[in-house]
Amino acid sequence: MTEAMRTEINKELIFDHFARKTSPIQRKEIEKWLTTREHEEQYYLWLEDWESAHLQYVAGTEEATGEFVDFLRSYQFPAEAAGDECPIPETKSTRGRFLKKNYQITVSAASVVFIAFLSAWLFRDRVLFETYRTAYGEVATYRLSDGSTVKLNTNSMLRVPRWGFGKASREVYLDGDASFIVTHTADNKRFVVKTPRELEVVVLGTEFTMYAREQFSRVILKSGKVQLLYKEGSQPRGITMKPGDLVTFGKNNHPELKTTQQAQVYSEWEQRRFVFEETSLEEVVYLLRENYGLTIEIRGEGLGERMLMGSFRAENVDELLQSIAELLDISVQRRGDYVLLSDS
Amino acid sequence: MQKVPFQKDNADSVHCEQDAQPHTSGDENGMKDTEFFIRKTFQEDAVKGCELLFRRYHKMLCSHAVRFVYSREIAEDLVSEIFCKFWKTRAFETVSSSYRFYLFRSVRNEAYNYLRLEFRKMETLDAAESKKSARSQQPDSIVQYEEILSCIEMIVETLPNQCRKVFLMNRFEGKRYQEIADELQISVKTVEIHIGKALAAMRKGMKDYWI
Repeated sequence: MTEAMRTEINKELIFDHFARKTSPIQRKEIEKWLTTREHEEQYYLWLEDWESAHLQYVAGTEEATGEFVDFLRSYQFPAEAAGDECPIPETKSTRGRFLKKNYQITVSAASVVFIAFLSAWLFRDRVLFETYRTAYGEVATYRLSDGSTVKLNTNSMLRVPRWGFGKASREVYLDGDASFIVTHTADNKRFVVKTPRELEVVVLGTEFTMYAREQFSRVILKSGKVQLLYKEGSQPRGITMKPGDLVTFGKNNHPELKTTQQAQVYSEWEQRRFVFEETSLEEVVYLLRENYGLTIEIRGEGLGERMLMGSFRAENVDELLQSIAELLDISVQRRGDYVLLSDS
Repeated sequence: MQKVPFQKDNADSVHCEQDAQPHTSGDENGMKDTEFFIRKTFQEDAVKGCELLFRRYHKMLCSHAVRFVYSREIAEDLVSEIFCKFWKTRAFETVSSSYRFYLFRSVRNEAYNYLRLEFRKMETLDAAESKKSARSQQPDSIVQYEEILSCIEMIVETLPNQCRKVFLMNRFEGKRYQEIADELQISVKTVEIHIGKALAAMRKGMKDYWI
């Protein structure tokens, strides 16, 4: 190695580095050298060289290319997204070992997700509304008279006025989770999703997903523009959300705004994919209760607070339970609708 | 500086045989040139461009990823996902660095995140601390990735022979416990124990690397 004043950074040294043959001092120098973009480019160029000379194994590129091209051809870009993502990977992605190659085709201009209080309020006016309902574990898609499509997640209910929908206004009531593809009308008629909590989501014609569940409300906007109307105390208020915004409403209906990059995470149920990101077992249990009507008991000290991270596919609740058990290394027993989670 | 000739049906072999002088730090043009053809293709036909890019980098990205995750399947999933993301976000239109830069950086980030999620202990005292940092943090320095690689290699290297063998069969080759048991004439239970041991060693050995 060069014994000059400071270590000279050259291909040979970097190759040694890749082969783990550098000293701590040399690594320090390399680290210093690597702070410019230009040098990082050079670094990856050498890494490419080195990697192709020292392949760990030969991946099935031919087959993978075929699959990839199929994906390229079939993928439809969202209507108005285009290019607001960063060019240099910043990375996020919480993925778990169960995430298989599923090139999902998500078409959404705006995706809104939402969780809200359940109340008896919804049960009136039965005659006035057409009611769509899904059972535990059932997902169904409906087409509304204005051409909009609604995909209802499990244990959810959507009510649409029997008369006048699409004429005077477009208002629906949601209790549960749903994904909407809203058609745009010539006269820019608003599409409003009302929830039991005096919280409304107003859109002009776009796609979004929302949850309207117990405990708290949440709206996440992926792209497009959505307006939230709500009441804090008796004061009516409104928020216009930007893509990436996440608004959570607590008990007193006070909104809290965060910016997130992972809006898609919250509508994954459409693909039967479950994404947990710093989700405690307790919260997961809550989710399972809401979605599948299971009675779940957690037995074991501190088990409820254990965190789940990762994303995985599960076709049914048993697969999901199995994955959770593997992830946390706990045991799961199911008898009918009763499930016991315990330290193994 | 050498220019690499490009041929349309030959994109697979468009490696940068760029061996000019060893210490050409920041050979900008040389770098750009090696991707010139792909870049040009992107302008004409994005699908074709993406396909060429995939063909060109797929093998080495998988190979690089597998050094981190030690599983072919996971490595290939990671790489596929990066390319999908590259397409979905239309990064090919906006990327200001070389594609190589984007791809290698992504694959290292993703592999790192993957490992962190799989092997980081989530219980105990650090729970509070880890919660804060859980949303994908990256090593400050690029050299740290190499340190992690070196650490992983050492962990696997120092596993007892049989344990390493079982671990690689299961993890790298994706063989199931039963297959391994049959092949090595041992019981499934023994296979389980070996895997458990290896994973514990990974978890323990890498615990200092998680940010």
